[in-house]
Amino acid sequence: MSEISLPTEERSERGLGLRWLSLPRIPYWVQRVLQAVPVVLLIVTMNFFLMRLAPGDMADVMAGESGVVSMDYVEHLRHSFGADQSVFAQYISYLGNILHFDLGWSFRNGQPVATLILERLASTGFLMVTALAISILCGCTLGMIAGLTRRRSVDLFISVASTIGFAAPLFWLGLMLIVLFSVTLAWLPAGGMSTLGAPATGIAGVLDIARHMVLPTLCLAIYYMAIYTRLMRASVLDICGQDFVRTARAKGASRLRTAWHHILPNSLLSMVTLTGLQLGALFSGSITIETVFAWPGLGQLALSAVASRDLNLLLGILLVSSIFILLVNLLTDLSYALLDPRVEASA
Amino acid sequence: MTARLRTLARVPGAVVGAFVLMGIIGVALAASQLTGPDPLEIAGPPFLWPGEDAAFVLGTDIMGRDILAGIVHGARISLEIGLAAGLAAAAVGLIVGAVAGYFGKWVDQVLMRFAELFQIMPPLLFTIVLVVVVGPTIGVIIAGIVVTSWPQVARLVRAEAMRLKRSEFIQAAVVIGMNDRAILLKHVAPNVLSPAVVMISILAGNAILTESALSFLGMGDPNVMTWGNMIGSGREALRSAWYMTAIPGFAVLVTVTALNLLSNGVNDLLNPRRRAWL
Amino acid sequence: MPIRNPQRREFLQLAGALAGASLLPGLTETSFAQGSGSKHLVVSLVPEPSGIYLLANNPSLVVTLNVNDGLVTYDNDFKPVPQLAESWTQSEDAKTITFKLRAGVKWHDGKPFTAADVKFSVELTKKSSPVAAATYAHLTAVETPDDLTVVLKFDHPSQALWAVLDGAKTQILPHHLYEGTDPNTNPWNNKPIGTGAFIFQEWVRGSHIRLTRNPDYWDKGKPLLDEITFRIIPDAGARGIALETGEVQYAPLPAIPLVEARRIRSKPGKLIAESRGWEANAPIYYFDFNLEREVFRDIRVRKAFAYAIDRKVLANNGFFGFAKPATGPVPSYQPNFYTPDTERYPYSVEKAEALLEESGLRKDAQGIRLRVDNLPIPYGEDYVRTAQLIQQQLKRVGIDLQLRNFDVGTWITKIARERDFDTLSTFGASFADPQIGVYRRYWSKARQTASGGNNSGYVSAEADKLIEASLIEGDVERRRSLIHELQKLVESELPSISLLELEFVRILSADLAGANVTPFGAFASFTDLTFKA
Repeated sequence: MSEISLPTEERSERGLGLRWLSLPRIPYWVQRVLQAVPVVLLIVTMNFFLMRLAPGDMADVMAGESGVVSMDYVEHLRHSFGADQSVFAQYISYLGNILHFDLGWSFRNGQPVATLILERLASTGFLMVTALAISILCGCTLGMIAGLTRRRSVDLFISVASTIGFAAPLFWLGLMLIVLFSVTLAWLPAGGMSTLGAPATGIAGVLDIARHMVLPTLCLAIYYMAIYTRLMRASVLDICGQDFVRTARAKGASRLRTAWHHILPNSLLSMVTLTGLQLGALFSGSITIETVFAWPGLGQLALSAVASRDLNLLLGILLVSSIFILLVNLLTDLSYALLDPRVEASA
Repeated sequence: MTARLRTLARVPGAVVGAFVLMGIIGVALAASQLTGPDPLEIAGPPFLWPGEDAAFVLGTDIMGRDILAGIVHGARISLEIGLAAGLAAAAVGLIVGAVAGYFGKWVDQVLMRFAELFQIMPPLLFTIVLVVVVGPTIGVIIAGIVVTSWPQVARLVRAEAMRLKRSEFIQAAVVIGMNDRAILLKHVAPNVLSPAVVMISILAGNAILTESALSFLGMGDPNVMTWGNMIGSGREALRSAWYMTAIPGFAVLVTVTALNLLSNGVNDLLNPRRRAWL
Repeated sequence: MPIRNPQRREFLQLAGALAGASLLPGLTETSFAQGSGSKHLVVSLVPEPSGIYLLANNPSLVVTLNVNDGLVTYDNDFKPVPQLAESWTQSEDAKTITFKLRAGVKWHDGKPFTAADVKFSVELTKKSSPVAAATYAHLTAVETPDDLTVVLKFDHPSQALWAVLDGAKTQILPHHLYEGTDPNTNPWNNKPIGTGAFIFQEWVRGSHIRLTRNPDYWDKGKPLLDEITFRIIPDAGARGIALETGEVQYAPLPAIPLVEARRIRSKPGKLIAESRGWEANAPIYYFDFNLEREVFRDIRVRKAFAYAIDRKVLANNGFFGFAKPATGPVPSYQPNFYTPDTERYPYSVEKAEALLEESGLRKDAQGIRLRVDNLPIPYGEDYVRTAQLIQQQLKRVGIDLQLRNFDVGTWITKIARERDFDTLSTFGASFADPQIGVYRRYWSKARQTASGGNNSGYVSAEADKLIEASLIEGDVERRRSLIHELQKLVESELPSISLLELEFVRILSADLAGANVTPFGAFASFTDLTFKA
């Protein structure tokens, strides 16, 4: 789940750079999108066949959950899901659907996969974005303080804290937060997204959701805050040693001013790269966090899709999350021009 | 001697990490002597809080198993998982990265696209799929972790290998007609080793975290006592006996912190000019 | 009770106070569902059902029975009580049963409920119900002389029929929405239209299912609640906390870890643990041998297992007192069918070891005489934990039991299709009549099932004869004695060890009144449930 050191060589490759098809006269972003297609297809294919290898299919699971069931009933279910066709035929028909932008039907949930994913995407996205924003904000600040401070004790404290935050199992942290804030102190709800008993609207409703979000967000954020703190600190130290910063300092710019004008923009570059790279891991983290906090998001949906052998749903989630991650990486790349002062200078 | 001490003093974190880790390894090796051979054994009344009974320093769990025994025996399994997964992922990453970086062109493209695959897929989700397909044994869990973590190493090694390839001594080796295999083995591999080595302990930490997450999600191996299994079974009693969850989780925290500290320190020592980003 | 270290507590409170200072101060009151006179109940539902209608799993049924009524429900003595059927008569030879239906009942979409709905539903049940189809096997015709009369005709008398006429096993569906469709994939299954006390409003996947009061319910004045929200909380610990804080007020199905349930039972306060209400489901925990394995063909080995397992320890440490040792497949609280005269296997390491020695299984250098696997049922920690206890107990007699922890899909495949297991530790419902839940464990013709069937692969001409005779036996006493004989037979041949009578508990807020405590209570509609004034 971690990326150690992002050396400059990597950076020049621009995130998850895909430069292998260097076709002329096609805009860079189109190239990137085209290159992503085989990757996404491969992910779908691999998981399709892998899940087909798993013992039991959706009919078995549903039968098992139904209590008493004859094998005839299982066969009947299997037939109605189309799971009795050959694996290859199913694969081809799945691909056909995908090409028509149809993610298929989740028999387990009795709903189209796209609907299910859309329903959950917002809540997971909301959680992830909030956590990410908090961790970037706090992480940058702390990392900057650690990197710039003259007091070794402050630096040491922040560094140690971030090392520990980086090493804590996320779900365990969540459980401990629940013990403290929900059980012992009874300040915050232990799970869910809103209080279902008393449907609140307007400001009260927003506050209600906010209360439910505090613990899961905090939990996700602590881990990423640790990463960003360390990244920022390293980045600050790195850039401080470079000539243009020394020059600025020599010209009499204040410490804070230097930080604001020179160090921050430069460090943001690596921040952005890292965010793109960490997105997959962030989603992984949300799987356990959503389970701990009963957060109705994509992570939980993915888990239940695996458990119930709901192939269409699992593939749909993988497809959507992969495309999403690829898109973010593309945006990351494109934002380089905006963020990298050196790119600007050379233009 | 003093020079070495001074070198070590530059990386106090690594020294602390190494000491803690040695302590954990020592405890793991002496597990049976410290607490008896079987941590799964029902040793006393259940739900004893730490300190409540002198015979069970860390208390007993939901079934009356000694938590201390679980921790020390769990250390062994956790370290085994960490080490095995870390070494294997580093080895796979080293080979793929070196080959990709050295040969470049389509070999590089194919291998790196493949690596990318595992970085784009949410790693935990893929590991879960693997465990569901093959079954939750320690071996499968390790394999799942390796499959999702080697690309990190491969990318770093590849970057090193690409730089090396342009270096004079590799060019020289090519000119004198050494074959690719020999160059890879004799010149490239030893020189790209350091990023892979640095990664081992961080990968090991990740492996321990992943195992605990899998156990928490109910995909652990119930025949062995791991820290993850302890958290998973203790969480049932979270409301009334949170120590059952807190203690093994803390053990994970300490171990992974030690591994990360070590990794950072080693990185600083091996690449003094390049600081660890994480 | 655990002794807490006061200093640590103080420290935690302090730390919490500091950390909490920045977190939304003032928002600390626990919300409670009652407000402005509207009675809204929040219920725990776990796991999230795959669908609502036509599924025989517990969470689906809890929702179904609130939305939809059956022909009958049951009283404290398992006697049928009118629901959609107002009265019934049975012919002399017990082969013809005539139901008079309740007049003026409407489906939630406004269409009238008629005999055509019942005919369609009974025929569907006979064709495809996983639970009740077998009981309707001898049904020859369903006649509807008028809109409010239904006549069921059978080849043979069927005593067990009365145990499957409720809304869980014979679901009465609106035939105007199901006729001509594939019922299993009918979209109305997940936005059900019923005749019941509550109307389905919405199902937000992963979050909740919401029902509201049916103002036109046939039982005037009922239900007493205005709204029910079934809330889906996947984590057991989080569920316990939601109940504790009052966010959730009722858990009809096992929802919280048994540890927590025990605490509530020993100290009822805001919450009450209710054990009544599961007798018609009658869960039994048992240990199956795969009789295709050579070693288990030897009855001495099977009996050795039975002697080596300490049922009391399983009941106390595995299920925390929510179980008691069973003496056979029929639970002791079903006096109509239970017999205590079965062979018993009190815990005895000596007897077990003697039997194992006799059967030629000697200890090897590591002290192990037999290595076999066990697949615990993947329905939660309680079952894994109890299997671990069995593992420890068997170790004492030199049996190495390797647990294989699978998810539901794999587990079923290993048992039903691949037969890739040596032993199982699992539970199944015995139901209100042994014909529905017990026969399937021993009947050779019941072998092909996905779960809860004849997992052992037990084939016994004698057992088959007893079972088949009882299926068509019209006399109550004669049928009872056949069922007694069956219990004695299977307890002496031991293809499967019936270990424990499980006690499932419902958790209720102390503010609730009117919970249904009949044997069927856990699944009954919440018609009489309300908040205390």
